[in-house]
Amino acid sequence: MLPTTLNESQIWEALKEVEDPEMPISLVDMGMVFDVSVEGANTKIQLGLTATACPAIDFIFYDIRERLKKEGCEDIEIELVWDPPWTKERISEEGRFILSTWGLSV
Amino acid sequence: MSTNFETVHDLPESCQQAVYDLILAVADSKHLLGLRYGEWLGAPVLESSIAASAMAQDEFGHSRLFYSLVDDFVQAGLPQRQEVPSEYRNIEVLDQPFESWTDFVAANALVDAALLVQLEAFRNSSLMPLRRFVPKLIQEEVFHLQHAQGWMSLMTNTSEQSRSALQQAIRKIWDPILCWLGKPQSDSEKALLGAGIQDIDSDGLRTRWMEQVGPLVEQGHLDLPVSNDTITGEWILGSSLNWDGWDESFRRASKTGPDAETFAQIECFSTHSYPVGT
Amino acid sequence: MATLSDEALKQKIEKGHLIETTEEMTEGYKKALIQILLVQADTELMSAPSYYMAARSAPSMNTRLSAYAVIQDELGHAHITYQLLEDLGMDKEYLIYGRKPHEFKNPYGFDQPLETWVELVVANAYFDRAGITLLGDPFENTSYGPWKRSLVKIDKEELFHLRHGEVWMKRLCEAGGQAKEEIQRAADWMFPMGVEWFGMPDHLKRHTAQLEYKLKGKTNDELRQIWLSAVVPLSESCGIHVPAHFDEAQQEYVLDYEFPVDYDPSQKRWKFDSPVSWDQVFERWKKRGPYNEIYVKSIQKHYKDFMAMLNGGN
Repeated sequence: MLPTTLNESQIWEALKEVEDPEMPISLVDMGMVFDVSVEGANTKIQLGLTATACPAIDFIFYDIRERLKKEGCEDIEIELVWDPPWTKERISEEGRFILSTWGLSV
Repeated sequence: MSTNFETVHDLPESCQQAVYDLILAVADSKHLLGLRYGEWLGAPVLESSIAASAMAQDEFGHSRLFYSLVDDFVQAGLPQRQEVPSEYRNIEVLDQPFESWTDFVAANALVDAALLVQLEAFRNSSLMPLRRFVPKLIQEEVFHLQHAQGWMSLMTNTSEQSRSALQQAIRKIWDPILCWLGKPQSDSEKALLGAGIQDIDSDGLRTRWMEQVGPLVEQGHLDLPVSNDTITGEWILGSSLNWDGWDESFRRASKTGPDAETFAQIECFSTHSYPVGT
Repeated sequence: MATLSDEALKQKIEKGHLIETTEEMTEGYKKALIQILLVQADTELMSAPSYYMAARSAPSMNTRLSAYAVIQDELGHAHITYQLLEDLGMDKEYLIYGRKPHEFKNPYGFDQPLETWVELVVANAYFDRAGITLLGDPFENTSYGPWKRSLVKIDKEELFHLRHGEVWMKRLCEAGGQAKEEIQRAADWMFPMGVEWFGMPDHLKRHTAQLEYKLKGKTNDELRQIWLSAVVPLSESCGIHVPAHFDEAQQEYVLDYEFPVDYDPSQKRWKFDSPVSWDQVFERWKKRGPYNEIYVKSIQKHYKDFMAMLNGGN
């Protein structure tokens, strides 16, 4: 297998295209991506869920893997982070705008 | 300064069982509380049906995390619990569905408060995986207590009938919930404190619980065995707890477990043949 | 009420004007709007007890969580839609807690018992697809502004339900064996239920007030085609047989049975060799399905007693 040629900022860019399955907003704008690190062929993503009860864990993991596979990343590790917990403050300006058009203020 | 444990494997053998018992009791209680909340599509207002469903999901989400610790214990060699009702360790008052919305409100206030103070006591836990996820859970619990408070204040302020119905509903579950916080001086309490799993003893937990529930009782002029010491400001329990038949490892007095209809829902997790993982 | 005539209102709407307040509406517009919103609100509401019944047999914590999330969404959508009705002068509380079971306007499909988690999966794939098809239309085309805006959130959440249904349908069918057989059994009764969902064919009923006021933009048959064009390929890709196929000559999906046909709710079985008239279908709908009362009761059960107690009665 060829090692991935993507660096961390490229991974962030790719993740900006992965939407939260329940909202029209990317995982990055939701502030759910806590950290990305690339070491050789291995890509490690630390993900914070907005709620412990997230009903879409399955879909989120799948969507991340599919998106990164398109970039040639095969060896992807996704780790759930609870500490520090995700909070609304992590949502980006753009994310806030999208949510406000949904009638949700944060 | 006590040692921290990165995994349940690292726990000293002397306290493993006590920690496992407590984790399983919390996991089962949250699982059952989720099922109970989820039954309320028929709350008296649609907003509360939605809230009940949201709270049910929170409880399931929390139990999912606690059950993942339970799995770690099983991997570490502790015996897997048998899938029979009598092996379930949920708070007793969750064995059957709530009969009325009043019962829902009472449990929403009292059971959620009990689970919350237990979570709070894990904030500085020496068991690191537990300590890491606990703040998120506490954050999510805030809404549950607000929901309960809203209904309690409505029920205690609107009519004498609703006030006394609430009082009765709370009385019914008062003792088992207070006992659930643990028996003072029990071996398991000593083990939990000794290993730094929780940072406060069972009587301390009860005091914190009264700090949550006491003000609501006082504001609602509910006649319940809790009072505020006018000099020290401390909350004091007005009756002694009945520990007859209490099994500290199960945190229950009776070992009947969830009723048949409830258990049928739980059993689906182990009897199906679908490729769903966990 | 509007000082405009019905004709003038229709012309204004035709030019793309969005109606925002009751003052702009004619009697006819308002009546048609209330009718279509009530169907939506009742459908969202009654899907909740029906999905809940099925969620009880969810095979894992993750699947139970997904099911409950869907239920909460549906209750939320109902809430949004009853609120729209309240803004039109209806009494939300009465609509939810005061009506008799047979007064609810949900489709016949949500008068049926959903008995297993597998049926929930297929309901999410077929029924929520019907929901998205029916609500995607007003989202694009409706002349009522507040409704259009409310559908942004609703449609996105319905997409999650749909994905939930479709992903599990595929996974269970890939697993084969008993799981796939159960999907097929569910599809056998739920697919024709979905076909019927869209109502009378256009050649029997074309011009409706809802279309004239541009409350929606597409006819029953157009919507049914959209639904078939999603559901038939999905089913086929799963190896699930459904009685419909794409007809190359007509360039559209056609049913492999004479539509409509008789249904036996006690067996959950369509009698494909017993074609019936639309009057007979309406009669069946009016009689309601076996779980109409049970579902409505599950929503209304505690309201009366609790409110009476709260207000000082017994």
